Amino acid sequence: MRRAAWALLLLALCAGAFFTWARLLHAGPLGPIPGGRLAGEPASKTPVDWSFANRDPYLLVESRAFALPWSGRVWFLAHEGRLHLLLPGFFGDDLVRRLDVDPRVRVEVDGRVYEQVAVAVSDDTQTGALLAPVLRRQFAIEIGGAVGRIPGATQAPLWVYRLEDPAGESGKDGDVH
Amino acid sequence: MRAVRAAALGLLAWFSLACGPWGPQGVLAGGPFLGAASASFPADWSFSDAHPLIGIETRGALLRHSVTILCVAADGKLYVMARHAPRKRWVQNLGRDSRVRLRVGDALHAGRAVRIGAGPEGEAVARAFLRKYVGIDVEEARPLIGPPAAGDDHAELWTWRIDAPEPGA
Repeated sequence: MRRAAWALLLLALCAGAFFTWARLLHAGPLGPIPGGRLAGEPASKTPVDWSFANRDPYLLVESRAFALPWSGRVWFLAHEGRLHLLLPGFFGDDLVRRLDVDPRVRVEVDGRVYEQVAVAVSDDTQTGALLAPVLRRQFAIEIGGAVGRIPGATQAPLWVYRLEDPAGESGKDGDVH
Repeated sequence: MRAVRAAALGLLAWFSLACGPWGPQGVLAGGPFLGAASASFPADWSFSDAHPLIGIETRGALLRHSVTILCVAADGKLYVMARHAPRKRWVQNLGRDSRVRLRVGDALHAGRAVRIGAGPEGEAVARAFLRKYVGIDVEEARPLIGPPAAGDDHAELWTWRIDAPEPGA
């Protein structure tokens, strides 16, 4: 019995050590487990059109809002050339809380890390324009005809952020993919 | 020293096989659910709409494997879905053995997963999904079935209806 308790304690310590390592020392997220800073090579140019990123199912995003860098893989969509973060509430609000504090993020695509600023998209017209492409990409559902909102129908909000170049010079250097 | 080795091996097994004996923990996969499934199969699953996420336990070749997933109720039946389905372990398990257990809130239910395709049932599920997770009602909703064509980036979504377990299963 005592040996089993020791084994359980050691198991818990090992698990704690693993998560500490993943969070503090691992470059980027470890699957669904958030990690530390992204280790890709800093990009010198920002793409004019981010559509090429859509071939990946997730975007690696790093926030430095709090004391430690935090990175995770998130749903996203490159729509009309711009990157959009799609943060469904049922996965928690880790990144949303961070973006509230500091909207600056780093994103990694193809091993290159880009500095970006996340701007919340709350305007009905803008979210409406994103709706069909988001549903098609994330949930493989094509919609058509009239769309009506059902107030209070969903318990989990979907937060949408558009990523912008911090210097407002997106594509200035012409790194077209 | 032996205990350290046992703990390390246990941890390695837990992470490599996701066989922790406590079901999924948030985004982390787990092993078998503790507890026995309810004796009765719900006739109407509408109550599941109150739960954005549920747990599903599938049977692998050796071990049970559980994850957290989305679900919707349509016409009183329960449906579960997987994005990027072919690469997921629980989906591969369903290909081998359709028996599942579902943790909805505190309740545990046994069932059998039956994959559905396009057609009216798929469209009803798509509409129910949009109502529950996006909060919209749409005139037309068409699920895209099958793997995306080259150059198309939509997720490969597979959907299953949860039927009552076979007697004696």
